[in-house]
Amino acid sequence: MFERVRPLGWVDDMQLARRLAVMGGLCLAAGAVAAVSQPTNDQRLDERSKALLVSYATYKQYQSKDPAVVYNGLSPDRQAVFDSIVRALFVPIQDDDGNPGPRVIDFVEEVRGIWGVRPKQKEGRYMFRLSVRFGSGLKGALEASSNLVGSTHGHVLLPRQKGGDDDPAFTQFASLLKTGDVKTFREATKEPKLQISMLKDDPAVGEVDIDYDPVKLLCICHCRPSNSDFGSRKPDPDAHVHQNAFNIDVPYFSAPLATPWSNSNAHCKEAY
Amino acid sequence: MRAGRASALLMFGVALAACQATPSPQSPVTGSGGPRTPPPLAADADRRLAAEVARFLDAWAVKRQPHAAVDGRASEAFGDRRFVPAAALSPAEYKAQAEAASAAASTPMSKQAFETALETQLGAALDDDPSGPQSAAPAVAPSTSLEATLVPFSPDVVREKQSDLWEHVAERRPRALLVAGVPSLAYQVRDWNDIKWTASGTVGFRFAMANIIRQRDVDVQAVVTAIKLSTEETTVVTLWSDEGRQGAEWRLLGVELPARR
Repeated sequence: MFERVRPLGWVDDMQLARRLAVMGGLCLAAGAVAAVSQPTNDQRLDERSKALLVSYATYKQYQSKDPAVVYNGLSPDRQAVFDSIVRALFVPIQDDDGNPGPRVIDFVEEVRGIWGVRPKQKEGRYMFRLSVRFGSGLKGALEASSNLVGSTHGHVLLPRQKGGDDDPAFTQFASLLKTGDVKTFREATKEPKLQISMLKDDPAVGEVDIDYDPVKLLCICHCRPSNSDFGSRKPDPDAHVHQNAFNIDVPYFSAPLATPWSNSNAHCKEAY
Repeated sequence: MRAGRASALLMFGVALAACQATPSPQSPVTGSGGPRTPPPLAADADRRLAAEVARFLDAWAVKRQPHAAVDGRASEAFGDRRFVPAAALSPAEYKAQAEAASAAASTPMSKQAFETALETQLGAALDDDPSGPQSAAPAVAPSTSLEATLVPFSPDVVREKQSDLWEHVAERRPRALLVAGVPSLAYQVRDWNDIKWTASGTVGFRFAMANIIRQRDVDVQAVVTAIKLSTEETTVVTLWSDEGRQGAEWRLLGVELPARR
């Protein structure tokens, strides 16, 4: 007698079945795309490491930008510093309840300095680190986080385009070191700790290091150089404490980091 | 008419003065948690706190006796595995604990066990390894007294000389606390936000401390002292609980040596 009034958006059974089929297909397709487009941490590590090595070669104006060539050109201790810090940067930035958000590595745009171990240099504590350029948003993300917290004693070792980190004879660290007007963040409830520092007036300019050892009141070994020296260890028979602790602390990858460099000559304060 | 107006103005003035009175040392800190009634004898509580901090630092940093520093002095309210410092655990144990703590799992431990854990941490900070190189030099400048070991660290000193620390503690309204006659910095701790600048590795501070403070109605105070090392100064943060006894006694719940590089 009268035509049924169809509410807005109403569909008959056949239409509904067709739409559900289409939606199901879309969901399956989206899932497949997501599976393809969501790389594993291992894949991300490989991709980001290569990109950062290219950025480093570009900044340093090296002839070859091939990441393998750039990496192989680093001394073993600098390889260890690079490998360990890039891995550590995969730490998720957590909210107040400890829920993970984006990873710090997502905000790192360039590496401009890869500072290695330099025994017999009094400024050793400033040396093991990466000079980097951060993308926008990192400072705000860290300020809102509960695991990478604002702290004290920040330092930014500025990169030098010619020489500096890749010159074993370079010793003018003081001329590149900024300690005033620096904002620094340290990883809480973790040992060893990632430390991220940036200039207050230019948060894109910063550095990253890993603090391996707590402060000592009496120091027989660890008084000074224990930043990012992933490969160093006490003389035998001491266990490789840094490497073990690091790999337990940075569990984001399928295989632990095996150091390309390890010695007991650069570990204790006597070496400096 | 005039008398009434004058009286009203006087009452207004009294009310205004009351509003502007300097807060007592342990009055509530803005920012986290609700208001709290300050203890009646804040000055006495501070004297007891200063004496306990001095006793602790003298035993640990000057006499180098970690056991004497903590013996009978650890907090019972915070006797929980989540407050065991990282230095008292192996990396694997520490990771397991961090995961458990983030899941808010309470694992009470005896006062004796908590003291042992703190003692282990204090011993590790001395790193007094007899098998180490003979050339090792103590980082603490040789001294026979705590007074000579401490460096003045009042709020004014910190504001002027360590602005990066002041940025983190200024809003906690720190006060000067005389430890062995040397001014140090003290302030009330309500939750992780109050001490996170130390980037402590102790997981309980981040995940459990605020709840215990509220549930057990304890007053927690942070005391920041500066110690003279042979080459530089370092800050030592000690955390103390009054165990709900209105400042009549203070028990240790944590020691932090914030990184300086």
